[in-house]
Amino acid sequence: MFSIIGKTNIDFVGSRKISFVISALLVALGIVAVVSIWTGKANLGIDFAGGVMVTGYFNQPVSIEDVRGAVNSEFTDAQITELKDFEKPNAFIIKTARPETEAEGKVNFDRLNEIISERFAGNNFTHVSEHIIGPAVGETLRKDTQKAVMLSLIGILIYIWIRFDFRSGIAATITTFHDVLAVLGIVYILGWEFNLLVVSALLTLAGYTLTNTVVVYDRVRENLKRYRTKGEFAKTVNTSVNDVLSRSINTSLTVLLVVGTLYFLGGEVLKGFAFALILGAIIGTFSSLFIASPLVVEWENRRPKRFK
Amino acid sequence: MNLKNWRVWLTIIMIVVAVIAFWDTFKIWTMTPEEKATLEESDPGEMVKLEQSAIRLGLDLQGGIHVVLRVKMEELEPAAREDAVDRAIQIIRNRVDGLGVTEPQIQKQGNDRIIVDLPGYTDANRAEELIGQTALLEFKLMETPENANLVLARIDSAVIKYLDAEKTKKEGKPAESDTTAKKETNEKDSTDILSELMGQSDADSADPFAFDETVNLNENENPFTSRLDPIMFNNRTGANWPGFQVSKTEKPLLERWLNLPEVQQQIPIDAQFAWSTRSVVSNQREVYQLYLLKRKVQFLGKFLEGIGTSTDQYGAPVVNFSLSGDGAALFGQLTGSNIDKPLAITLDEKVESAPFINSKIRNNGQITMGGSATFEDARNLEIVLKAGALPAPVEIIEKNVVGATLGADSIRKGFISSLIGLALVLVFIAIYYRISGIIADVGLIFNIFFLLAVLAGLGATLTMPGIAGIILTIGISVDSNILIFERIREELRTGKSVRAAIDAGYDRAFITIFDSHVTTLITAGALFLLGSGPVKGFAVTLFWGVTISLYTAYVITKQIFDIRKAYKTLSI
Repeated sequence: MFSIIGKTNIDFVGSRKISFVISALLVALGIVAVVSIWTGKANLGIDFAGGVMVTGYFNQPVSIEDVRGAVNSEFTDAQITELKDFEKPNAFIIKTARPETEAEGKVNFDRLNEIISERFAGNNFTHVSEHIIGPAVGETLRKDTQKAVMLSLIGILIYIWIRFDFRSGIAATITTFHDVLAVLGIVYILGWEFNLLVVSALLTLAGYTLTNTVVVYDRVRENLKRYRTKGEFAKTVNTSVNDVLSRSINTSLTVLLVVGTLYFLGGEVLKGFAFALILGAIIGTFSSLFIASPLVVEWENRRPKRFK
Repeated sequence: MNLKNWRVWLTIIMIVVAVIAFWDTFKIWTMTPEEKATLEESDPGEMVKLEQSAIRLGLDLQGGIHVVLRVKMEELEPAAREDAVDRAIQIIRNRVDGLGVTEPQIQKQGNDRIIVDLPGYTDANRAEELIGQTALLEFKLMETPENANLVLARIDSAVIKYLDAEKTKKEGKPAESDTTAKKETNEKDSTDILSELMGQSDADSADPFAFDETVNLNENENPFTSRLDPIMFNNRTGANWPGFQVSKTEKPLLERWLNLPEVQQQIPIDAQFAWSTRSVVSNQREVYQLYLLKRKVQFLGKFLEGIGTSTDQYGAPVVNFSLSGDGAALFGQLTGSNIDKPLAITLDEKVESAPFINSKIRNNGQITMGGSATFEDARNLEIVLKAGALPAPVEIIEKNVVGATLGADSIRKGFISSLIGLALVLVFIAIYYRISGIIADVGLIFNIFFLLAVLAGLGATLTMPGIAGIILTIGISVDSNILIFERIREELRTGKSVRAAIDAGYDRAFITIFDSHVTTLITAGALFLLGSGPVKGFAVTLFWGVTISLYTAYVITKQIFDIRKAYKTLSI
């Protein structure tokens, strides 16, 4: 038998004060991120914010400063990134800020083309992708996604409530929120772009966190039946967390193997997505061990009611 | 039949069904671009069939164009706003059909929006031009049957020359066996067509316009004409006017020939070929009409007024229109001097309808639809006429063009890295859990294979978020096996026999696996119901991946363990 870790007896529940503080910081960061997304200050991808994005390459070498100079003369808040691992050299992504009206997107797009062909006459800029997105589209997408996330959280709350108890349902929902906010916060601080792929990553990690949490709760339920000693609730919970520890670590490792490869080899487009998933795998494991169960213990300590 | 056997059979059936469902996808994914081009050339129908039954790739993966248009209602008269979006859609559909996109999607969204998706098509400028142009509805006369026969004979000889030249070019190359095989199938095709032609000409032998040489048509001497099925249209007086039908599968070939410069030279400058917009079913085949029109525009759609549908005295659907002023005078002159001849109504150079002119029309016209026409056909023609009379101006408000290179670049990197990631997981599990790990690996491979088969069966579109769903599926599937194996290890530590430990491990882990799967399914279900676009794609792969995982990671791996009844030791 080959094991990374043997039988452990780590005091997850006892160290909950420290983990709650860390979590509170992460959640606070996440809330800042959410607020800045709402107010449009965060680095939103054009699929959510609207705007114009052109990816292309020049025939002859061009420095990024030159492109920036040309584009920023008219679009002051445009972002220009060099696409380094693209099959052609001199490839750039040019992104302009959100348009005010729907028709403006197309106008900006045409103007952008004009500027580039004027400024770099004789050096053709071949487009490989073009995106024009109006301001309303992103909003619909955002609202739909929000609604869907709310519905799934309510569904999970009810399911865990039925399968376990109400407190576990709440705690699992809080843990899920916690993870999503924490990842959002870190993505925000590091300046990654929020686009649809990052949202997919957040949804993926929400599912992943829930699985982790359910695994721990299942073990708690089982162990409570076995060691039904009064007043030993916290201890039983801690034993349960230790019981599933090697599973949690193994599963996280396999997930990290996949998303890690995606991060290093998946190319520019998938980098943000893979990064959010790496964070998700780490934070999801952390929270299922240090947050989900200690939360229930904390609740039980304040208002004792035997965990079913 | 005991329960275990029943499960084994279920697994076998699932594998068979999955192989069938996934077969076309497998074929198309393993084809090289050259092979695709060859198939496209030799058998376009088969290629379309393959593409339709294979997993489609989203715009982000294979490249393509997604455009959202807004109909500029403010530029239209209040009366013209009513079905402006339908008119615009009709026009866009007509034009997009000519692009050769496998699965174009044109949908109405909200009150004034139209979504156009052209997967695989990356010529943004051409697409924009086509979509944004104002519709052109024209009325044209047809060339006489005598002229048509002359032109067809000339095209035949031009095509023969072209084919000979091609053959000489090909014979220089070593791929000889390939051409002979192709020739054989072509010969078989031509005999089919010949017999149909003879059947047709027998029935119409009394016709003055029938081709005398019809019976002798063969593929070598008349490569073009032998692919046309003549049909006869009867006008009011009972006289016939010949038309040509081309089966849907032959149309791409004839279109290509017609576009050759040497063939174009054979068509008189004042004439043009035009296809019907839609296909009809004739003799159980889907056919298009091919018309030879006089190039001169006789009348314009913008003169039409008061377009609507109703029924004639026999209850058959008709389309009515009225004319006034210049329009009435022009149309009166046109119809008056061409009574009993067909008049082609073309939208963007495609023939929508070619009714016979029964009498001189000045102020009020009526188009009687053909024998089997439905009210929907009449309604379609009404929309087309209105589209020409009251063009609906559109503007592009959203556009996504993913170039084939960027699509290919991201798909290659995404796929390759997912595969490497998967391989690492397989190796990790095999090292950690030894033989048992390999069993889990088999379950995981089945999971992904079944998932792809289901996606192919559903005709789903795979996008980048869909790949995210597959990655989550891998995680959940592996997690199930890790849960089971950790349980088995625990049971073994308590001193149970191997067989008992396996059974107990599976038993005890089940409830956890079930709960984690259900919670994930709830998430996937909510995202599917309320999410839009790409989020939905994520939800679909996740939903099926997780559902399948419950079977592959739990049932199939257990079946593999159960192949042996008794174990002395277990490699775990």
